[in-house]
Amino acid sequence: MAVRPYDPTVEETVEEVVGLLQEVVGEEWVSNDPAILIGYSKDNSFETAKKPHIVVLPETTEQVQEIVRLAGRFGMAVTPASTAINCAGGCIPQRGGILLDLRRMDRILDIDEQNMTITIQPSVRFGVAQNMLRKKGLYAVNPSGPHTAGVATNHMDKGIGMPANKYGVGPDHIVSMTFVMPDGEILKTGSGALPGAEKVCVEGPGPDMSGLFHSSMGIFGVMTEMTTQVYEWPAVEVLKVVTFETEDLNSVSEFFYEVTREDFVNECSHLQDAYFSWFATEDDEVAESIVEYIPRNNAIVILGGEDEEEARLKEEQLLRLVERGGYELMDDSIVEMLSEMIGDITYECKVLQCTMRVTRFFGSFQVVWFNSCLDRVSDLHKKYQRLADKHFRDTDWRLWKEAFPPTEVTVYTQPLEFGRSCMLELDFFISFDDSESVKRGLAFGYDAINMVLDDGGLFDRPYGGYGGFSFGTLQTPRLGTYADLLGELKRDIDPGNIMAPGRLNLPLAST
Amino acid sequence: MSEFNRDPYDPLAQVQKWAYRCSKCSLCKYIHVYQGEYEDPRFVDMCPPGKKWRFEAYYASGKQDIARGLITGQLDYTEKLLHALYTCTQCGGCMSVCAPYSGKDPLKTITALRERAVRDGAAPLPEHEPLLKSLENYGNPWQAPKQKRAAWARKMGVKDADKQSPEVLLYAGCTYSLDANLTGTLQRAAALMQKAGVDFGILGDKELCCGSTVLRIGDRETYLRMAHENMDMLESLGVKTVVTGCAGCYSVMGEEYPEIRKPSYKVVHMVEMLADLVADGALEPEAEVAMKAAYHDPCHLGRYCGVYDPPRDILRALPGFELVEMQRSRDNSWCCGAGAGVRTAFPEFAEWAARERLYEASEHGAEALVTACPFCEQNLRGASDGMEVRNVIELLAESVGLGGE
Repeated sequence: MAVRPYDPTVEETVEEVVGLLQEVVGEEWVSNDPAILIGYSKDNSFETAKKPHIVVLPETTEQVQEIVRLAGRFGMAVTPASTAINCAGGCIPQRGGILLDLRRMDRILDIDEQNMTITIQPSVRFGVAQNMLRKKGLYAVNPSGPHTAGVATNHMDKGIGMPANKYGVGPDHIVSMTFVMPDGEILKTGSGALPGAEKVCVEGPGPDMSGLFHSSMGIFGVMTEMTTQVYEWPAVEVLKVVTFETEDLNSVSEFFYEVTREDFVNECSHLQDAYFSWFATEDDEVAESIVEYIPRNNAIVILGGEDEEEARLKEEQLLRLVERGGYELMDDSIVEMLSEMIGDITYECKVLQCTMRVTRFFGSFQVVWFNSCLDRVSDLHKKYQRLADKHFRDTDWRLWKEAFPPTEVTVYTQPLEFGRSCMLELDFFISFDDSESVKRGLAFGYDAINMVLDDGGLFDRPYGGYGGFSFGTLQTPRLGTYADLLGELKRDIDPGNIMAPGRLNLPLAST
Repeated sequence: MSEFNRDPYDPLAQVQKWAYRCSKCSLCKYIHVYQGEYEDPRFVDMCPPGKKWRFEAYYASGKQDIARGLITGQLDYTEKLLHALYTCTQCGGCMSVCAPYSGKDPLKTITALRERAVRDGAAPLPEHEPLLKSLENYGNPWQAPKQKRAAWARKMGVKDADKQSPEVLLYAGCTYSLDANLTGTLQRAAALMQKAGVDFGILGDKELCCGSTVLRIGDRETYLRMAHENMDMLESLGVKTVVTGCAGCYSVMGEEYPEIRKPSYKVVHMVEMLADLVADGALEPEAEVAMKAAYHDPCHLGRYCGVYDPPRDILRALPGFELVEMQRSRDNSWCCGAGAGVRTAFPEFAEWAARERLYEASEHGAEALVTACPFCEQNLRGASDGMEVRNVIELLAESVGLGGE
């Protein structure tokens, strides 16, 4: 297929492409009206607002194939988005072109109860999947995000949730994916690669190609179907909160090392006091008052079992561990108070819409997330706190209205894979209402990302815009051959560079 | 920020911070899930125009972007922009989901966008013009002479509230008093009040439109004029209570008027009053109403005013009546599609939304759909392909032996 070189001045061809796209998907599912385009231009990150030239809503894989081929003919960028929920600019089209809004592809195609898999289109949301799976005693590993987030795209983007200590991160669950490649051809990964093979094994034939697509953000193709593993929803669940009065996170890390290695906990996660209070209420004053009841650091632990007896035995094991380590358990009355405010916390942890409460502060909850190991957490937290003090110390943050001061940074630790590693979130809030806040936030973000890189952190999802820089732009130069090879692969697979150009900041001459 | 709007007279100035703070979480698109599991993924969408057209601009989240675009001057009014803005039924689904989590009310942005569109001369839409002219000429949106407003009460022996100083004013509302298919409901409401011994009167042809429609369309100036006139009149009557069967009138008089000034009367919806009368024994439903039906929560009664239980209490009190709860009920309710000038400007879309509701009722095993709002009744009946659409008042009247009046 002849591919035109990428041409950013596509405006003159837009009307022609709109007409051709309408022939593919129907007139009502294509628009280049500015009022439609602006809806895809911004999220609540620092990412500069950028509009696509056209938005198109396909319904089938075949339509996606035709759209991608058409885009290739015109050298027009194609940026896919499923549920379009991303708090780091992940769905913003960097080079205009066609925004492929996949929200009409939202069907559950199959639930294999016996072999514990679900086959879904890219825009099936966690809320729908969990509700359908729960009827069969199963659940998909949640992303610690809202129920409106897409299961397939979150898994592909290395989504991390509370069961990650036991079941791993997003890609660990993926059995098979179907992609429309930049030339419009279909590629299936994992055990789905072999026609007729049962889609149950994660590994495909020989060197597995799945990894190329993990956190690829659509730069190699458009995912239109996924089969993913699901897990048994325990018949009995018990919530416990282990508390740590100390500011130092060493004791939290020690607890996670122990509890994850012993492997009796279904889900666990670390929350600091402010973070916990934000989950509990939408009222700022209430949130601030709750902080007084909540110890500085907390580990949420969910134990599960087939019956009460199993859950009780695990609870006893946890109590022994707590006693041995000299930790404390949160008072039942406080857990009850929080449960009343949040709802069924064990359920919420699988269908987390209370997560969204965090973003209400300034509407600009900012995250620097990366992977490291538990024994680095304490040191990183201290450095991060010092950095926040440096950048925000003299700000009159109350002028920014509402919320906690920006020096009230929080750290969220999520142990992964039996505690071998962890994901860390360095969270802070700025106000997009205030230019000084934005300026300071950008400077802080820049320093925080470099600090993480200097301290051995890894940005495994290297997109996310901070205006002129991102996780990717700062990390990629340090990657050497790895980045070069990825760039070459991108050139080979997508010679026209039409797929989500600019999203991963790869070393490409044409970008 | 320099691009930020500092014009205090711009309706968007009041809501602009939310336009910049929308986190694009998409909660506004779907029903709550924290209330528990749901059975059917077909019935999880909450936003009618969003479900129909799917582009971001048709949801509340996309409206925040439109607001940002208008504030910064990036957007001009296009047909598509106005379509996205005016196909919103202002059902408040987005508000009920977003607010508990974000403290934001996306509906306020939509209201402000419409007010801004009117201020900029881009709206009301041409389709709304006859309605607005009718309000100007006749004092109601239905192009009906004022005198016709009192026709429903002839021979009923109802007090003239202007002359006989009753304790309660039955505010009939334009739609109930002027739509021949709905006046029966009003007559039954009056008959029920008479049977229960309520001291009430009506304003007849002196009654004014509450202003709900112009408010929702975005013509705030006209609304304020109408609201002031209405409040002056209601206060001059000296009534203690204003009761209305119209959910639109109820939410405007009960929720919006008090923002202008504190009224001297309280406003209740007819189903609230009737539920109390049933609970007190003043009305005794005795005749069987053999029916398996779902209750459709009108947006202005439910989400806007929090009245969910009184209509259900009445229905449960009817012998033989089997109440079916749809997946999308109470604050998760799916809008019938009529509100905020949508049925006037986009009748086919309004009918589509109503058909969705009727389908949901049918899928839940209901044989009929019961509601408590004249707009819902009109729209659902118009879209019905056989399913009966009834009003709570009618059913109660039948059960207490007033069905034929």
